[in-house]
This record gives sequence, C-alpha cells and structure tokens, in this order.
Amino acid sequence: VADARNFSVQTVAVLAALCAEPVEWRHGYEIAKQTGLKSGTLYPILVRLADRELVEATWEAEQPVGRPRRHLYRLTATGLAEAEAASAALAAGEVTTRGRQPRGVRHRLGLEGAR
Amino acid sequence: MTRALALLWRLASRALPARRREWGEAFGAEIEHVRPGRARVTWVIGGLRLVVAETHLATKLAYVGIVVASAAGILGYGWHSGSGNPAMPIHRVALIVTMTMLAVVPWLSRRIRAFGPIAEGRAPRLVRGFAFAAMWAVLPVAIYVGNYSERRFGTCADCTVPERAQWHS
Repeated sequence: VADARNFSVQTVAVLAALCAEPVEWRHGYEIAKQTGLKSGTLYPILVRLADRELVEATWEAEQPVGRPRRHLYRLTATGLAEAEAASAALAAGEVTTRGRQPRGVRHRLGLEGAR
Repeated sequence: MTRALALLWRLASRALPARRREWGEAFGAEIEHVRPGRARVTWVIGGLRLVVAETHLATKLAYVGIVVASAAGILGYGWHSGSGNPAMPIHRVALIVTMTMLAVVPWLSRRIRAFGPIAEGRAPRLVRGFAFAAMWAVLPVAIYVGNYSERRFGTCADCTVPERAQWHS
C-alpha cells in the first residue's frame, strides 16, 4: 500500500470521495462537485489513478435519451485500500501531502489547521 | 453556447494521444450535464488544461521558444551587414538554410524515426539535449572564425579605407 505522501491533497480528496461509497459508480461532474475540484484538476487525477489501477472506469450501460453516455468511476480493491490508508494517515496527522493545498479541498478533507 | 463549447472540446480533444482519446470522450460527455453558463465554460476550459497536460504542450512550446530564440540570436550575430561582395546573398541564404536544417532535421528525424527507436527517460533526454545544444553552440563559433578569417585573410571587404589600402598594397 502506497504512502499517502505519494498523493497530492487533491488526489486524496478524490480518493476520499470515491471511498465514501466504494461500490457505487460515480461520474466526473459529481466527483467534481463533491471535492470542489475543477475539471482541469480532477480529470488528470482520474487519468493517473486509472493508470495506476487504483480507479476503474466504465461507460453507462444504457444510452440515456437526449444526451451522451457518461463515463463512470469507482475504486478498485487496491484503490480502496490505498484510499483508506491515505485517509486514515491524514486523519491521524501522521503524514502531510505534497503539493499545493487549496483551502476548499483542505476544508472538505477536514485538514484546516493541519500542516 | 453548449454546441459551441462541445465543438471546441471536440476540436481540442483531437490533439490528445490515442491512448487518451477515451478520456476525451468521457470529458465531453459530461459537458451537457454541467450547469449552463459560467460553470460549463469553466468545465471546458479545465478540459483544455487536460489536453495541454496530456500532449505536453507547454514543454513543446518551451522547446520551440528556445529554438526560435537561439536561431534569432545566431542569425543576428551571423547576419552580414552588407557589402559589395557578391557572395553576400549566398552567405545569408546559407545561414538561413543551416539554421532551418538545425531546427527541422532533429524534429523530422524523431518524427520518422530516422535513427531508430527513441529512448525515453531522463538520461537519454539529457544526452539528446546536450548534443542539440552543442550542435547549436558550434554555429556562433563557426561564424566568429569565419568573420575573423575574412578580416585577416579575405578580401577585406569590411575593412576601413586605410586597412583596405594596406591590404591591397
């Protein structure tokens, strides 16, 4: 299991969002709203997580009327383990995440005041 | 507005490498679900950041900028101010052709894999970058030597009148 220090705080936010309901497939806009991340931050993170096989993706099974099928995401078993480890480590204050830590994301992760 | 944004995204996502095309489609499929107005525009602009990141556009532009700036600097240094020497236009053309070849040949050879497969990683990139820089560094030296030899042993076309009188004496 990777160290949470390997993740940016935004990545941890995405992992935490997916970890909240690990069996549910989630679409990008929903994750963006939940994490407060902009699409330009969220999608590169999803791409990297999928490359590392921490996130799996699939298309909506049925074609909705009047709009294109959406891409859905959820954690893999490895991803779930990493997400739980990262969230636990952050909550325990054992690690700090690398990279910039936007206030909104820190707030959602309950990191306000933490270094 | 939505159509324009979707069109913009379709055009931009074409730049994505083949292995990322599905992500481009995935991103595009979300556009219609985003709240219309500013949020939707922001969403698409974010997607452009994805394209920039995945195509390494910023790095490529930086490389192009460095090459153009180097070429401009060397051209400025090597450009002859002009004289009655009939070989001067040829000198200028040769300089432009050399600069163009130095800029284009490495790019082209990489594109058509003229020298075989291209290794990725820091060390091979460093070697390539050093070789490229060394190749460019030779040019100003060659120009300097050319100018010096022309003044010292050439027709003395750029010499001052007293120097020319001395040359032809």
